[in-house]
Amino acid sequence: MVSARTRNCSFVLDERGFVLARVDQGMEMDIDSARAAVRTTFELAGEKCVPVLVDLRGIRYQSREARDYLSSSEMKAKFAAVALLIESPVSQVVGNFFIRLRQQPVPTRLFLDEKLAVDWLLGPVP
Amino acid sequence: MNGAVDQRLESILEALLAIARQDFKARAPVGDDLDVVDAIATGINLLAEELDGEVASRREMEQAYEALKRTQAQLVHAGKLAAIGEISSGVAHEINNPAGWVLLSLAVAEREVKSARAAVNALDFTPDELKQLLTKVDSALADAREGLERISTVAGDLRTFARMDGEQLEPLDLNEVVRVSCRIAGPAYRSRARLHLDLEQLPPVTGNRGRLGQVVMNLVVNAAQAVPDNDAERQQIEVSTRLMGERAVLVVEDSGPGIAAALRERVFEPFFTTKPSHVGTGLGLSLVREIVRAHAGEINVAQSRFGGARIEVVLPLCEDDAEPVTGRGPESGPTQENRLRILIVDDELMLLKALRNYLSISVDVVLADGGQEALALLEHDANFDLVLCDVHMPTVDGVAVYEGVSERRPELIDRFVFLTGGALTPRARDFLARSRPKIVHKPVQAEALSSLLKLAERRARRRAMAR
Repeated sequence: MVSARTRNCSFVLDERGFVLARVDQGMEMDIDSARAAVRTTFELAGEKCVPVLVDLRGIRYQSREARDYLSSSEMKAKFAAVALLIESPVSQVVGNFFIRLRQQPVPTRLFLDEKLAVDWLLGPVP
Repeated sequence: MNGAVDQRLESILEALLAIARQDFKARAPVGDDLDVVDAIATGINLLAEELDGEVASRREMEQAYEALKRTQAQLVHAGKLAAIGEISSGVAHEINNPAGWVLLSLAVAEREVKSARAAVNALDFTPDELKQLLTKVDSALADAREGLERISTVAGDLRTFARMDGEQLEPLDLNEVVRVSCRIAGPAYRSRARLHLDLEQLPPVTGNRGRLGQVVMNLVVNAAQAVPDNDAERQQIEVSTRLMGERAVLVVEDSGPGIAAALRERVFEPFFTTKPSHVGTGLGLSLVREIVRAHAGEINVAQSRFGGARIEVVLPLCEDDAEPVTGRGPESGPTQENRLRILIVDDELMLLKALRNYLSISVDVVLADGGQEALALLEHDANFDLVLCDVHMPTVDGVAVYEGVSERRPELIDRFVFLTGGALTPRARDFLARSRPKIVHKPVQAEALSSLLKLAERRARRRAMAR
């Protein structure tokens, strides 16, 4: 299993063809950590445009700059689709803010259940 | 609810109140539990951050808008300069031609007088020869006079554009503005097209003479630039006015290629032009629209019956029955029966002498060399039917003389007429705008003087009857 890690996030290239990015408990995502996460995911996928499952359950904050960056058109070339896994009330707030306040350049959805998220990512092109 | 939660909620409330006071940098504390209370705090923080970003964007937009307004003002200024350039070249041309023939005519007169003097000295002439010489001198002087009158007309026309920057509105005769502007624009169209004026009698419109003159001139110059070169006999520009209900309509049309329907709205955009890059600034029509809108008017583009462009400007008429301001006095002439007594105040000695020479045939003339001398004279002698006073004089100007007279000799105020060459100080300009005294523009024309004398005589007669 191919994996990688940044300062506050771990990454695994799942053999089913997607990258799982899991944020550390209490992560505050600023623009630098957002850039690092995108770069690591893309490298892990062999610089291919693959679906991504982001486990946001441990997140504590996401800055406006990070939201702007992750919603930029640059993401079109990096990710095929993004499933955001949320659970804690804070991650629900952050996740909803992220997808409701910005128009997302790639198909993006929130999930409370990991299996449903993976099924959606691997299903017909969303 | 336990005390710890209360305390966290209180902290969140504090942050919320700070945000409500537009402190969008305030943040609610988020704990490590990532529970509902932390979610509320996070939500508030995210909202504050979004608001902060929106405020910053709005500030940036406001700054960009201010910069845009400054740029627009610069463009308008550039357009005015371009208009001044058009006017200057027109005026230079209009003055140079008659100035040339004035000089030639004077040279002829000089030469003939010299010949006459030589013949007289040598006693070598016949009466017929002398008559012939004098006829030549008369003719040359008549030509010179005509040339100077032409120059004087051009200078008078220029007054239309003298206050192009001013915003003062007055009731005015749109047809007069059209005639004057077309004369000034003459050099721009004469070699390219025939210009036809079709002006219907109109009630006055409320407007700024200089601005509306700029509108007419821009439209005529545009029309001239639109028609093909080297075909002046067949190319046409028509400027017409007509009454349409409570509005006056000005139409300028030409026989050029016209403006495609798809481009008609765009012609009013700054820098939009269908002309080659070396012709015009592309600002003319956008300025014209700006001026027309400032006059509560409308402007439209259509196709001309000559095949070219047809620009229609619609302006509202004056709301009251105001008389148009033309800058001319009533038509009348002096009488020979009762000699009037007039005081002329000016710091230009040549003008004083010329006025005395011209007027002293029919009236008694007293001269004052400048404002100071006039005030001193008026202290002990106020028996004048008319006071002709220059506005622009050193030390004591016309305004100061007027003020002195209104204080010490108020009976003379109605008989006060200002002479002005157009170069006014801000103080004088304010005074004239405020007090609206009678004004005669320099160069002083014989007709204007005759009108003034007639008026002064009528008033003198009325005063005598009242006594």
